[in-house]
Amino acid sequence: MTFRRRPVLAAEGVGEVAPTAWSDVPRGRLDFLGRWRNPIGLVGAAIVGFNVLVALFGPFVWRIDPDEQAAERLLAPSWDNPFGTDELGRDTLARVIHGAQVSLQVGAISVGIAFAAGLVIGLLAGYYRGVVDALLMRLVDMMFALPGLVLAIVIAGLLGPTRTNAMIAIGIVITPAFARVVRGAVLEVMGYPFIESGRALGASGFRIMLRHLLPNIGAPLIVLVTTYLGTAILSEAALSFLGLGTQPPEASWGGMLNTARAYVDLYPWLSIFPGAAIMLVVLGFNFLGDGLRDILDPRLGPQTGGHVATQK
Amino acid sequence: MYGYVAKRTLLVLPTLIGVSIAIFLMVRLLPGDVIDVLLGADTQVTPEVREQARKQLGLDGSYAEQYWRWASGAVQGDLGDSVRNAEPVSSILRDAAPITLELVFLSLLIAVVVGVPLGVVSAVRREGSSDYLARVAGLIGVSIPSFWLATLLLLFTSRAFGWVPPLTYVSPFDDLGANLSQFILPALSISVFTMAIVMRMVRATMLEVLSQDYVRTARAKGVPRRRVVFRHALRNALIPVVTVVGFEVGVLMSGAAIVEIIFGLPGIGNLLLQAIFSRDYPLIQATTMLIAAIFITFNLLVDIVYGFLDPRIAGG
Amino acid sequence: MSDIPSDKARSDSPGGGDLNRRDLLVKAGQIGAGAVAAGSLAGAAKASPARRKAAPPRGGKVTWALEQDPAHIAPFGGILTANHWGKAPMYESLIEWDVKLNERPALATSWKVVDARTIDFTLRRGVRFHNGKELTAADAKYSFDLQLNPPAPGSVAVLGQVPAIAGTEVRSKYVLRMKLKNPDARVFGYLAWNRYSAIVPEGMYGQVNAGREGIGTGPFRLLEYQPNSHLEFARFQNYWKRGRPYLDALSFKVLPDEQARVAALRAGAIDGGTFSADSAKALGQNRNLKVLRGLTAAFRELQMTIKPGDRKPWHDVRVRQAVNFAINRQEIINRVYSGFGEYSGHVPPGYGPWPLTRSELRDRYEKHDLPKARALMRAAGVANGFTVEMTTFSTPLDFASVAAVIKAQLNRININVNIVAQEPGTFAANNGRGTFEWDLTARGMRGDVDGYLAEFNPSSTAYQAWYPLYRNVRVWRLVGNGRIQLDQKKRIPMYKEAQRLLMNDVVQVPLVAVSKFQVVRPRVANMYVAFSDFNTGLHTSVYIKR
Repeated sequence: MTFRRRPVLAAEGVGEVAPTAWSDVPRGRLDFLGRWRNPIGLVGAAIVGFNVLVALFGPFVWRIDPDEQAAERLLAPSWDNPFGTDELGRDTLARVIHGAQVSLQVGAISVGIAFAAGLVIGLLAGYYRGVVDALLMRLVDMMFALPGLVLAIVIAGLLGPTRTNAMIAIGIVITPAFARVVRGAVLEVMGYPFIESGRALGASGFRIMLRHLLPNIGAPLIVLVTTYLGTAILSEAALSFLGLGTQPPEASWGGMLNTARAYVDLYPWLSIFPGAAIMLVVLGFNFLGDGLRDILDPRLGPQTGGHVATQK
Repeated sequence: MYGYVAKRTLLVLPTLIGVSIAIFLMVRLLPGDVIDVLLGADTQVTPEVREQARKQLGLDGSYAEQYWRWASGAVQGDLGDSVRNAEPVSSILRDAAPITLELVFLSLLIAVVVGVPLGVVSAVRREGSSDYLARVAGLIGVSIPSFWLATLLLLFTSRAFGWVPPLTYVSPFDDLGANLSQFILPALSISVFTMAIVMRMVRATMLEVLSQDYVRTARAKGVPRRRVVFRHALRNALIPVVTVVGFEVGVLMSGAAIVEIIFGLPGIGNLLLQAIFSRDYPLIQATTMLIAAIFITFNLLVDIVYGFLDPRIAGG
Repeated sequence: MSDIPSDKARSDSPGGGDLNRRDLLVKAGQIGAGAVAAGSLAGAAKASPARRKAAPPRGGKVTWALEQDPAHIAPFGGILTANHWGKAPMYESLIEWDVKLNERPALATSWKVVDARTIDFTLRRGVRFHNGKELTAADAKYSFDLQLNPPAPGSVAVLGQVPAIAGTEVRSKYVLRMKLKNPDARVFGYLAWNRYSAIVPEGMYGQVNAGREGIGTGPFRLLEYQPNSHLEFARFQNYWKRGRPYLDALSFKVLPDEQARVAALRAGAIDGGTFSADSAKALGQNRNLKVLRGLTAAFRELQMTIKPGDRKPWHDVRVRQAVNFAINRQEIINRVYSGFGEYSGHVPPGYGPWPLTRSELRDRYEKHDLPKARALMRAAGVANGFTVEMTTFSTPLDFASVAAVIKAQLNRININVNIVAQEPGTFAANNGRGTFEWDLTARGMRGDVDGYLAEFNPSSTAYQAWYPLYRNVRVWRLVGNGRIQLDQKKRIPMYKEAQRLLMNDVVQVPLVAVSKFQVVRPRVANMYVAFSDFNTGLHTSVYIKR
């Protein structure tokens, strides 16, 4: 799969996110507040902000230890345990809060990995072109040989099921998306006439390219990061659910959903709360991404969530 | 055009080979081998016995030797034997593949059958609030974790109707009713994501098409709205949907892997996970290759169709 | 929280037997000069009054749920317990265990220890295989040859559980001579366990696909095995135990998902299965279902490595003893296992006469004594404690819970335990190689008691991997001699003394033995939770209540 342009309104399932029509992105016009034309983005920002607050300050506000088996097992929600207790007598609310920390950490680090790797690959491929480009693109193509989550399962499973390996796996899976956008941007910029002349004058072509690239790539990268944060969190939950990410007894939303399966008819709250948390956070990031896309270029119209083959 | 097709097709083989090597190596990176897993942490074997057991399973020799043994067998159709029960991997996959394919097919069907009308309706009724509603609905649809949805559906059906899906897999050829009742909940769970995407897709293209001149002309001429919608707009709007569908197969396959676990369906996804946990190298390799082959082929077909539909692409 | 109705009649009380080993042999009139009572797990000879019961009614079919697919049902080399669940109804060995794990003759009516390395087994006459062929020594020899070198789909990895048998030879049509590489007392338990020691007709592997089909002497013959789905057995009409089995048919359904099993039992699709404590409790609320509970050999254990390199605090025996006394096993049983469990030594409770007694463990060797623990830590110079990493399984979930309880308990003597949960395959790999500081693991069933102490034999792989720096010559001698001592009466005190020494040295800290729960419909009579973790009752004693 090469970096070809797709029509703007083509909905992608495979990780391609706006702006697909590179030339349509308005440069350097990021006056946010004036352009929030719909409340969706604001709601998203609020949800994400709330989630971050819970993750950072939750353990200080709700002081029960998520691993401590202090209470009776399988209690229904009550004032003492607003989300009830789980099969080992641990407080579910405390575990959901800890799960928020885990999700954000995994999300941030895997997107960070993808960002860094994608940046490097995209820069190298776009700038040097030729053999380098071809090789790197073959590598990226190989990652498209498997659907996103399956690839994550294989990588996380084969590296050894731990949280760290899940982060690496998810990072690898979403790298191509970043790489493509960066590469596309680099190619575009490389086409500008003054690049040639700059090189003729002896200036480092690379630095010139970067100078022109950076202001233009900021906006789409922000949207990409936001969208894939939601994706990464959903993937982490899926991997933990399958036993391939964060291992029990550490609390993670996916892991909690997995153990709750055995208790679902008599004790449904064990499934409801972690699942709702996942959905809420992912929704928040999707809303936020939608809102950001709106700001960047309302002309692009309603895109799909861009949500990605990786995440289900 | 044909150059484009040929180039894309030729790339498939090296990609598959590359994937097979990558999987082969990664599988051997796993901490612990199948002997460890089978024995558990309870008993020990002497190094000699361990070597003997590995030899019995074909795990001796250098990586290059093992890969060659596997690859040369694979091209002849012999994918090796599962190390857990010595069954030929090819027959294991033959039993599992139809289940996953049926699941993916049903999910796609549901997604399209529900998503398209929803998209049309939301495009046609363009008042302000429904615009938001549609967007929000679409965003919600892609945010629901399929494994949570599956659990909620199970909870709902058992509480509201007192019904649980059948426990053991029944082939559709044996008993279509039982088979469908087993597949309906898992298919529904994973279809929602794709449904949302299809809905947004249809809405977007419909909006685009509906605002075009020839549509306005037809309306001005007094052609009833519905005819306009169905005759002209929908047909054009559906074309990109076809390609979306192609891409979504990957998503659906991923989703299938998870819900197969929840609903106890012995499909490829379930198989892959079991194989990973039991360090069943031949099965891991073959299952991954199968998924890769299916996925790559689908993408190739979609790319070709896309190339036909939009010649601009084939040129680039 | 003990509101699970329990059927303790059969399975909880360890040891004891209705008939003493010697009585059986005398009855059979087979004791010859020099014969030594074969390895027996019999306890004190308590002859209970023979109960005259009407013979149970014949007929009917029982459908049982298996929580794991057998993967294959080959008679030899089956590593998984599930292999045995699938094949147990159709295969037997020369010796068998009764309910209380006492050995008694099965396909062999008697055996004579000719010398320390030679045992002659006299086979039962008139035993038929499922294909009609009569059992002879040639079949037994064929079977033993394969036991010593299990072909696929079995694995040679099971050879660690096979005693030092050099080979067998046919002495006459019904007499098989077994030669041992060294004197080895494990032979009889190995045979009675039947896990790796089936007897099949000569040439069977050439005639059938051994992973999917089988020909044995057992009470049921296999009709069909559909992997990941079901197994069907039918009563073998010419079974050598007259009047058995009581059932006409036995069916196994493979249902790995616990919820599926629960639903199936409630719906009546199965007659019984194994369940978690929570499910068993929920099912027990239903007055139409009967909950069975029994101890198994699966006890939890804390292992510590004592290896060259940096000197660790627990290289000092006083620290290990402190850990032992700081742990409150009753608290573990209460918090993690709802009160269902027993203190365990190195040999689990219920394993015949071999384990230390309950009161010895509770009141002495495993007594919870915090002041003593603290004093020991002080004496060892680590009153301020230390940090250690303890790995354990991430699933099943109770391991992590036990780890959490231990962590809290050891906190009181200033030991800070970092729990690292690993996925089972990863854990097994690290455990085997000894790449851990501490780990929390479990043990399982063994054919012979030696299996529980073999890792204290300095030549064993485990010893070298885990505690090469540990030295106790007395233990070594006891364990080494115990293996070659064929007289059970002399073995018992040896193993007891070894256990006491090991409880003082605590290189490993045995914790608790756990209970297994099975729930059955009332029509299923005479089922019990077998200590061996097999579903033995199904093919030996179960009948349908009319």
